[in-house]
This record gives sequence, structure tokens and C-alpha cells, in this order.
Amino acid sequence: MSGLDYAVLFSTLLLIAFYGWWKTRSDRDLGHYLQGDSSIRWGTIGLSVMATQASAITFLSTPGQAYESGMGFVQNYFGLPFALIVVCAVFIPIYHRLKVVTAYEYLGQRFDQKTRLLGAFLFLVQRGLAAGITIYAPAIILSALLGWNLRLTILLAGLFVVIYTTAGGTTAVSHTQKWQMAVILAGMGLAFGMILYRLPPDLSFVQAVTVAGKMGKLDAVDFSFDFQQRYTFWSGLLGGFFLALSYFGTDQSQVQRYLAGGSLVGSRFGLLFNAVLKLPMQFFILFIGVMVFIFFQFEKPPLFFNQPAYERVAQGEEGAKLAALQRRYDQAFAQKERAVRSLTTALDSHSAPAIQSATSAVLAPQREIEGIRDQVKETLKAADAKIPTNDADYVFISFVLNYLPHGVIGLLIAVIFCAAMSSSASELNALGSTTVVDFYRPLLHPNASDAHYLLVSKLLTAAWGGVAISFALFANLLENLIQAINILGSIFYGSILGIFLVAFFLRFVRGSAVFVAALISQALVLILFYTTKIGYLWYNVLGCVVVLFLAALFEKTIFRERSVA
Amino acid sequence: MPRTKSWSRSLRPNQFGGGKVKDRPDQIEENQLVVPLFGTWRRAYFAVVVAFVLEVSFFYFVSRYFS
Repeated sequence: MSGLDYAVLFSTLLLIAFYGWWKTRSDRDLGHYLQGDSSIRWGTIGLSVMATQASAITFLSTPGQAYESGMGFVQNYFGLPFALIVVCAVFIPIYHRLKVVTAYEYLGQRFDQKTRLLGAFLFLVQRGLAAGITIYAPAIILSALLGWNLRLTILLAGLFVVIYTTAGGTTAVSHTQKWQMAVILAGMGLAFGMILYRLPPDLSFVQAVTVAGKMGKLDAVDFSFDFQQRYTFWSGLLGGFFLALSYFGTDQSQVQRYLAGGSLVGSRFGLLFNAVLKLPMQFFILFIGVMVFIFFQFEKPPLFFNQPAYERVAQGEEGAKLAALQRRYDQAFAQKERAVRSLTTALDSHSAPAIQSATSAVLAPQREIEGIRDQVKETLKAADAKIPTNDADYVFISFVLNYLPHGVIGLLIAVIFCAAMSSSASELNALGSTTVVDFYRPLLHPNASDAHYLLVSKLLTAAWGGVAISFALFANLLENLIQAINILGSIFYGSILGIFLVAFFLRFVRGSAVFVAALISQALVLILFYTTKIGYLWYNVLGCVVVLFLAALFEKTIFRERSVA
Repeated sequence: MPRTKSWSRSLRPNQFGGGKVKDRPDQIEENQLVVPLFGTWRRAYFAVVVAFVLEVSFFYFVSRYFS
């Protein structure tokens, strides 16, 4: 990175953080701190919701996923529009009418205090861990590739956000997210343009897309009923629906975003904005990964994208083995490059047999390269068990650092930091609010003044920031970061969603029945997670259905007798 | 009596009393029956479903056309 890149990076981050502080500098209102003010309209809510969900991991991992496995990951979001419709139609009106600050307050009003605390506790555990990963994810990758100190990078990603989130609360978070999202969209649009610009001049866009299709990278929709397959249309539609319903309906980091501003129309329009635009956005980010894949058909990529880790092992005892693999890789790549150029020529000829033959000629060296990469991963693992063998998270950022001009590099690093900051700001804001509203106020200090609660809210937001940064400082790299976040969410979301759905739709069920049902459901999901290989999206469905079923059963049996007695 | 302002008034324990729930989704105070751009919320939701169908059709088309 050059001085220009650093100037772009730091000016972007500082300006946005300063804007957040400036916008809320004289605001001492507790309601604004926890719930935002009327300056937050539906457009800001929409961008804020989008920025909360799209973390740095989205922009690091997603293009890498498309590079490795194609566009199938987009199916993960197929249930999202329907979930948002349900949230708009069912959840939002109730939250607005009851004027709740946190989603879990509703559980207290509908059931009892223990159920409210259970919901809030599950949220704090799940989101507290996720906040650490949100900060850790970009830091580990940027520090590895740029040679930055990991701890300083984590502190850079974490401290800015802790300062303005603690100072300005919900209003600051929503307004900064609007500009962070603008930077993110501009940066990703620019990156896409630069990738197309860097493709060979004799390769048209249609040819590039066709080559990607022939190499199996554009298969976005899979209608098979394979439960072991991680992403299919059905798992995305059903599992994704429950995941999104739980995330948007019951996760305070999102609930706080769309309740900001206090307008029912604003909340609903903000979410419907996401219902329409989320899928195209994910498709676009995945498509960027596919275009990076096409770029690397004509420009030799590194054998392993986590280059610092590779070079470390190459200098040790396994160096000779890696050198041999590198020579095989060079030959296979040269063969594949010639085959891809033949394929583009065949595409020009529009001859079906020629295209089919050229496609087969491309796939053979491609499979060989994949085999060599697997052997490299095994070698790296044998040399150092701590090296993560999944290098997909490094693909996009490696491309950015090695092939894009200075200035653009700074902007795209700023995109990653903006994404990290926007997500973690929402998380810290929600963690602080939930701790105050659901634990501190009802359990410890029920009748204090607004000024007292404002101070405690700020202290707790800062404390959660400290927890997240500490977790990031001491975490180990997980195989694939975006999956780690989704898996973590899926383990807890099913039970939480089940509690809320019982609250909304099973009106005869009371607190104790749903409380015990949720505990059993959570234990069951954890057991399945550790003992089976079910696709993680199904945990959302399972956890939710078990709570619904058991709560109804317990209410009609065990707790019915107790209430009669 | 709580000394706090509007936000904390919503925190009264179980204001529905004894677990009897009145907050049915169909009891929504729809004071905004006329929705900007769409007219009604049902139409807005229908537009989202139509957008989803078009988006997935586009993804499927891209998958098939270029493979």
C-alpha cells in the first residue's frame, strides 16, 4: 500500500466516524440514544439494515466462495424476502404498538420475566461472540497480507467504532451506516469495473461470462432435494427463511435498526428495500468473485492465496515438496490457459461440437489444478496444523492488493473496514441496549433517572466493545469466516425464533411451557451440531419447530395440570 | 412511580396482565392504510414476491444460458 492508499483509507474512516460524532454531539436524550430520532427515515433505515447484515466478512469471503464453488451461495438468501414480509406484517406492528426498546421486552410482556431473560441471554451469547468475529475477520486477513501487526489492526477496526457508537448510540450508528454503505457500494462497483478493465482486451464480457458458465461457476440455483448439500433452492428457501426471520425479527442488532426513527412506514419500507435489493447485491458480490476467477484464467494466481503462510512453510522442510507441486501447477496452468483461449475461439465459431470439445479440454487441467491445490493444503497442514487450509477468504483481497491501482486499493481496504465497523456498531449498540433494558434496569436498578440509564448504556456499550475486541485479540482463525457467523447464528436462532412464534401465534401457551421447550430445543440443536453433519441452515427450522411443538405439548400436559392444581 | 421518560414507560411488567394476550397480529393499528407508492401494504408485499420471482428467474436464466 502506498501513501495515497493510506490517505484514502484513513480519511474515509475518520470522516465517517467524525460525522457520526458530529451528528449526535449535543444529543443527551436517552430515547434518541437507544431508539434513534425522527431524522432517521426509511432510506437510512434500509441502508442501515443492509450495512448491519453485510459485514467485512461478506466482502472478503463471498467473492472467494464464488471463486471456489460458484454462485450457489446466493440461495442462502432465498428465504429472506419472505421472512421480511412476515417481519413487516407481524413483528413490526407489535413492536411499534408496545413501544418496546428491545425485542425481548415483548417476551416479558407476553410471557414472563424468565422467558424474556432467556431470549435476551441467548442473544447476548450469540451476538457477543459474533461481534468478536466481526472485528477479527478483516484484521486477520489484512494483517497477514499487508504485514500489519494483527493486534494493532484489530484495535484500529475496533476502537473507532467503539468510540462513536458509545458516544452517539443508535442515531450515530444509523447515520454512519448510511455513508459506510455508500462507500461500500461505490468501492465494490469500482472493483467490478476494474476487474473487467483488467481482463484480456480480446475477451468480451459475454465470452468471459460464458467461460465461467462452462467451468461451472454460474450454477446459482440447485433444485435437488439433497439434505447433505449445503446450499440448494429448498434449503435456502426454507432454512434461509427461518434464519432470516429469526435474524430480522428477533436479533436486537437488526430490530434496533428498523425501529429507529419511530415510524411504522419507515420501518416497513426500510425492510422491504432490503427484501428487494439483498438478493441482487449478494449475486453481484458473488459475480465479482466469478469475474476474479475468469481474470485468473489468464493471469497465473498463487498456488495458495494465503501467501505469507505458504512462504513460511516453503522455507522449511516441506519446501522441496511444495516446489515440486509448484512446477506441476505451472505446467497445468499453462495448459489450462491455452485451453481457455481455445474455448474463447470455439465460442466465436458458434460450433456446438467445438465448444463441447474445448470445454472438456479446459476442465481436465482445471481438475488437475484443484488436485494439486488439495495436495498443497495437505502439505501445509502437515507442516503446521494451525495453518487454515481454506484460502477462499484471501482470494479477493489478494486480487485487490496485487492488481488494482493505488488509491483504489485504499478505497477497497476502507470498504472492508467500513463493513466491519457498520456491523460491529449495530452489534455493540444492541448488546449495550439489551444489557441495560433487559438486565440492568429490571434486575438491578429499576427506578433510576434517564441520565443514569444513559450513562450506564454508554458504559455497557463500551464494555461490550472491550469484550468484542478482547475476543478478537485471542481468537483462532475459523475455516471460513462467513460460514462461521452463519453457523453460530443458526445454532441459537431457531430456539429464539420459536419463542417469538409461540408468542405471536400459540396464544394459549404461557411462559413456563415455552421456557422449558426453548431450553430443550437449544440442547438438542447443540447435540446435533456436535454429532451430525446436517446442513447448518436446517438448525433454524429444527430449533424453531421443536420449540413450537414442545411448548404446545407442555402447556396441554405438564403445565396445564400445574395451573389447575 | 418510575421517574423515567417515554422509553421506560414501555417497560412495565406484563402490561397485558396475567399472561392474557391481546397483541394479535390481526389487531394491528393500521393507521397507514394508504401506503406511499403501492397504495396498500398487501400490494407492497406482492411487489416483493414478484421481484423475488424475477430475480430467481434471472439467476436461473444466467446459470442455464451460459452453461
